[in-house]
Amino acid sequence: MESQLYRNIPKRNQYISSKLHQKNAELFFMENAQIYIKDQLILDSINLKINRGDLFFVTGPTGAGKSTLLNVLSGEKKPYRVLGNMRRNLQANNRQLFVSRIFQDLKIFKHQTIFENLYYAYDQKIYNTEKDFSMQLMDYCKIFGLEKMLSRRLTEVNGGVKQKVAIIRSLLCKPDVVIADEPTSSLDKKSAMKVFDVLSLLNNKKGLTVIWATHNKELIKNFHGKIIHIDAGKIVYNGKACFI
Amino acid sequence: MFYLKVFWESLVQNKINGLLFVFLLFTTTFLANNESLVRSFMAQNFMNDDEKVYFQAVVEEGTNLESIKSRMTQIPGVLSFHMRSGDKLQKNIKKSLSENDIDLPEYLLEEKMNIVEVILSPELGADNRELIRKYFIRLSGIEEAVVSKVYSPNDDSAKNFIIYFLLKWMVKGITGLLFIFFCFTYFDFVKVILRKSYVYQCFQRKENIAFKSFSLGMTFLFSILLMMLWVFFNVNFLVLGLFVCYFALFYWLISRFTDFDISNQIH
Repeated sequence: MESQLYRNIPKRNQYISSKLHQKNAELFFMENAQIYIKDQLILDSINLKINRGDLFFVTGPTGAGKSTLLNVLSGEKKPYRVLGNMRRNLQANNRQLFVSRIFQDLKIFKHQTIFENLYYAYDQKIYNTEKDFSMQLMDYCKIFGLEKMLSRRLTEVNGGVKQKVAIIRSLLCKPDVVIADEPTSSLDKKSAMKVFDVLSLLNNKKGLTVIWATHNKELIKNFHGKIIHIDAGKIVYNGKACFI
Repeated sequence: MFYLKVFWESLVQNKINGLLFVFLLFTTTFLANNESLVRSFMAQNFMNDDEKVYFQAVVEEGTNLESIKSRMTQIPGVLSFHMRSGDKLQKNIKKSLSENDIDLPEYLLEEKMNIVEVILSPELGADNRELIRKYFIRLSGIEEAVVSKVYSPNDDSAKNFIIYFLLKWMVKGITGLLFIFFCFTYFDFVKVILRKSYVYQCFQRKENIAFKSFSLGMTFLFSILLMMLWVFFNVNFLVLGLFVCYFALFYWLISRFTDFDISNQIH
């Protein structure tokens, strides 16, 4: 799997960095932040610090505010008001870090084929040719078992396949940060672990920052990284995963 | 090419809507720019001589009356200004001359001629009709002898009123109706572009994809439309300008107030 992820494709100019020049540099910072969405307090007294190269889990029950936190971190949602201290530092080496999303509602086009949905990630700024993109696409599809389904429409496949398509699409654009909102909710345990392995590998080798929201305790049972647990809009726990 | 590709993909995503969008865009713009042309066509082909108020003039073939036409059609009450073939008239003249044993030199009989027909609104009084006739004579420099009197229908005025009402308002009515249908297809099309662009923007290092695709694509469509109108028909730049302003304003309104809703409707 590692060799498939590190296909020796010459990188294109300055849009991708193969080395983490500023590992552990601050990416997101919140100190006693209160976040209002449409004049309603959604997140209260949030204290967190996410550095580049972190693999970070956000857990909590449904409706705790995980998705809102992720939306605010990614810039998807602009808060109505923010009290306290909040910083997003997405500049590094004179370029904007690219944040990719795996949405909870996937945001895929159900009347298009799997290949057409993945093709949205083809950016000529990061791939020299379409062939390079296709090779990388096939590599990811082989890892997730989709290589024989590329011509099928998304109306013909199940929720698990759709979720894998969303995951592959977010990785194909070679992001610096991946913000994943319940990316394995429709996957079985084995597939979910595979997704975790892929993201962990990219995190270790490429310095990909991963922020992952889930309420799947099985997944984080053996995780030794950082976790924050949110409940009713407040951070209840912030530290290592050993509390589970 | 990327932005044009996004525009094209949005157009063909729903083929029926895309086709309707382009068709209604072209049709509505054409009708708004060429109302007098359409009215002339209707008057020529769907009205009998005894249903209309009109006068005619005989002119040599090849006489350029475009400038006179543009001035005449601006007068309120002038519904149509068009040319008709003078072949039938010429035949009738030759027939009458031969029946009455009148000899004329050959070259006079072989002169090709056309008939200018000006159709007036029945709402005009007799004085105003005569004024328009005299204005035409003055503009064209034609001899009064070859300009007929103003003919008006003899029979039921209610029926003629309906015919004239349709002639006057039908084009405007159809244009308005088509424009309303066009608004619906336009709204749908803009939403499709916004959705596609949103997803592209999530996974590509590009900004303002929706705006760039939309403006490039519409510029391309408008260029084709402008060329067609310029070459084959008439162009009213004021009307075109109004259309462009409408497109821009409507696009801004949709993108401004449906931003978050769109992202939730993709899957």
